[in-house]
Amino acid sequence: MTKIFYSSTLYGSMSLAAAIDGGLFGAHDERWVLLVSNNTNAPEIVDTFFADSPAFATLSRRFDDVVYWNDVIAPLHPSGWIPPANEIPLLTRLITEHLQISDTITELVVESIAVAPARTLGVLFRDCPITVYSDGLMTYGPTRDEVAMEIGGRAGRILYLDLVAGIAPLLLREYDAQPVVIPDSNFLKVISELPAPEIGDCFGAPVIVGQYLSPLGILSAAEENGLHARMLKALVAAGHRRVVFTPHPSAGDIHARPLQATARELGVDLQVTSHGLPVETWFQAAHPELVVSCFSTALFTGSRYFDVTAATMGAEVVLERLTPYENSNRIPATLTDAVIPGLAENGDLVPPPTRDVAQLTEAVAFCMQPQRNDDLFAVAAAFIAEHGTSRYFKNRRLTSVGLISAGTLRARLKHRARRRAIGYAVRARAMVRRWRVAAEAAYEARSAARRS
Amino acid sequence: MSAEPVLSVIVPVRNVARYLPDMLTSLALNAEPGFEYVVIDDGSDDSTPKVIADYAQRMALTTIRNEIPVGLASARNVGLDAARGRYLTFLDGDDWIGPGYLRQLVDSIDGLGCDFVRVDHIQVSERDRVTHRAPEARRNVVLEPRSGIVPASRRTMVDYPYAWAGIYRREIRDIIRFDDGLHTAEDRPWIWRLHQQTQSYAVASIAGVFYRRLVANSLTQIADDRQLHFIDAFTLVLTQVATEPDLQPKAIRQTFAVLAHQIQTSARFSHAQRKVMRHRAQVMLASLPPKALVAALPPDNRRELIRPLLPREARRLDAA
Repeated sequence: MTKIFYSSTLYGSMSLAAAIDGGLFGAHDERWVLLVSNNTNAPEIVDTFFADSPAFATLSRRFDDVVYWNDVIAPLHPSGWIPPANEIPLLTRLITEHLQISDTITELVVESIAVAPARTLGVLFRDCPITVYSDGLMTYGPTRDEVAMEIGGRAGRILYLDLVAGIAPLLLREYDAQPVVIPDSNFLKVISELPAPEIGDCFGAPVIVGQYLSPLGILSAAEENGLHARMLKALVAAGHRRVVFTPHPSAGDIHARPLQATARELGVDLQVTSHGLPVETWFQAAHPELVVSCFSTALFTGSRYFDVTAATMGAEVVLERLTPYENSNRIPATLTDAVIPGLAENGDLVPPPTRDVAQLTEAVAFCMQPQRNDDLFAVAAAFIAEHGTSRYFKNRRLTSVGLISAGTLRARLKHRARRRAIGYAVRARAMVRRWRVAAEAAYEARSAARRS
Repeated sequence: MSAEPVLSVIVPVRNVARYLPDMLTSLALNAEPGFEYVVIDDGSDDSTPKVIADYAQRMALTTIRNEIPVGLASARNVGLDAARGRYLTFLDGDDWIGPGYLRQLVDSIDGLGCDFVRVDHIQVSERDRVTHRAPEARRNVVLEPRSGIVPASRRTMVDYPYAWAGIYRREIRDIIRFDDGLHTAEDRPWIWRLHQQTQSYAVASIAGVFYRRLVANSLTQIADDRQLHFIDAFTLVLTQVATEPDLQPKAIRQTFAVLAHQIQTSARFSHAQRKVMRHRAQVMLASLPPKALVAALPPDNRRELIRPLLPREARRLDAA
């Protein structure tokens, strides 16, 4: 008997380890194989693959074998390969043989079920139940791509870290998958077993957690560096003289160097971490006063598990820019905006207005994927009736899903056009007034000169 | 000067700031004490020099800068002049290589002991990858380089002219120089010389170059006078085989295939450029034996594209 697990991030492997320790996969009385996959654009040139890190070494002890999936299918790209339907029996036979599995596969455990390589594994190992585990805040959102019956119909459980109080994942709800919480205590224990980073004299210093939003087209490279600079300035305005920056593993120097320059201008000390360990180990070792990010999951792990105050900056712009509306980052950005206090330019923390987060998530989820979640129409309508449509919704999408009528949309667009026209008129009048004042003054000056 | 390097990797680059970090990162991952990397910045006017300077702080790079661009062929020659290695290979700045690729190349040529080894590669577009095989079925055995040119009727090693798909002994350095000033098809006369003038070669199933398909702004997609250099390139090829009746049919066929392709896609050229192209093609073909020209005509509709460019004698033969 064999269980097959799949992971493509350190965070995912940590969640998986915590779920195992929490007994969610029963006793280890069968063979457990972990497939790790590097899904970056050019995996061949990644020199910081998570499965080569010392942190992963402490996690992987839970498995009998760890197999690098990229090697199995080389030179194909894990995100680009789905086996052709008529070759599946052949490929299943050869790959199970390659993995030295000669008996029954009892369970397939994956994250990101809708896309390859998880989908590829679902297609190859077709006779076992599937357990999906959460790879972050996206799990709270609806299923992005249609999941075939052959895969979705086997997905019995969604394992997730309880990052946002009061809500459960919506992923695969169209297949009635059961959300199951990974116990907090097990997650904390997993982190406590990881190697501890060298924190130097940074105990308590606030942490900026970088993401890598420019390759996703959400922010330009300049805007992303600008956002980090604004975060740093706000922390300095709040009186901090020493700040820690944790760049996204794939961004490294690209983000660190410009922020170092800003820190020098501001005359503050910026420590850039490069320990290759998850940021949660830093939270545990350094107890930062504050963690700031745009909408990183670290805001939630920090505040939920390590008592670190979390603050967001820039999530509002992300909400505005994300396109199409069903972009998977919408739920993480929405949750951040709705739950995490905002960091103002002067360093103040601005708590978000209290809203029913479960209702908000379901309303946004309905607008993102109305076909798969048509039973959420009433929730969405009720939320909008109570809170209005600003911030989290787009008029065009609300119209196409039937939450506002085309008439209302027209009225709104007309209203917006009218306000814009009034704005032009006001500015034009002011400009004319300034010209007139200037012209009169010039006339006065000329006549005064003539008189003298 | 330090000990002789085992391998020199010659990487000419021009305006590839966006892709160059991938290539340099992959070179860093391939680095060994005996490997020498020679990067020639051929007059880039984007941030390529900055990328090179950044990486040069972290890895051993021999860097050369041409203030005025001289073109890919001459830039590779600049690299050849600077290279000190026992073996030589080329790479392009917008591709990347897999881990261990350079070591595989060296081990292969070391084991086979021939003048050069040609290899396969992987073409990448987004997440799609296709392995392209060098057109020679016999692998890992030492072959006669001229046997890789013929027959004329099949796709052969001279139809796979990528300079970066191989490794070369320093002794053949003069043979693997490029024709200075050629701005397109510079690899055509080069691959013919390689197979005509060397003594031994082999083909190995090593696929380590990840070649980006359809990188915008690559020279092959730009229509300017430099595109007409393909005629100069094939004039050189035809001259090189002028006294080799067994190779000439293949050279003429290849010339026709490329010429037909250029005519089919000539909408990108101006009227004046098309006129120059026709005239120069006629001049190129005028000195060739009419019988050989007619025998090499493609059997399909491309025949009609080529026919008007043939000398009168050949047209009469074809009609008969």
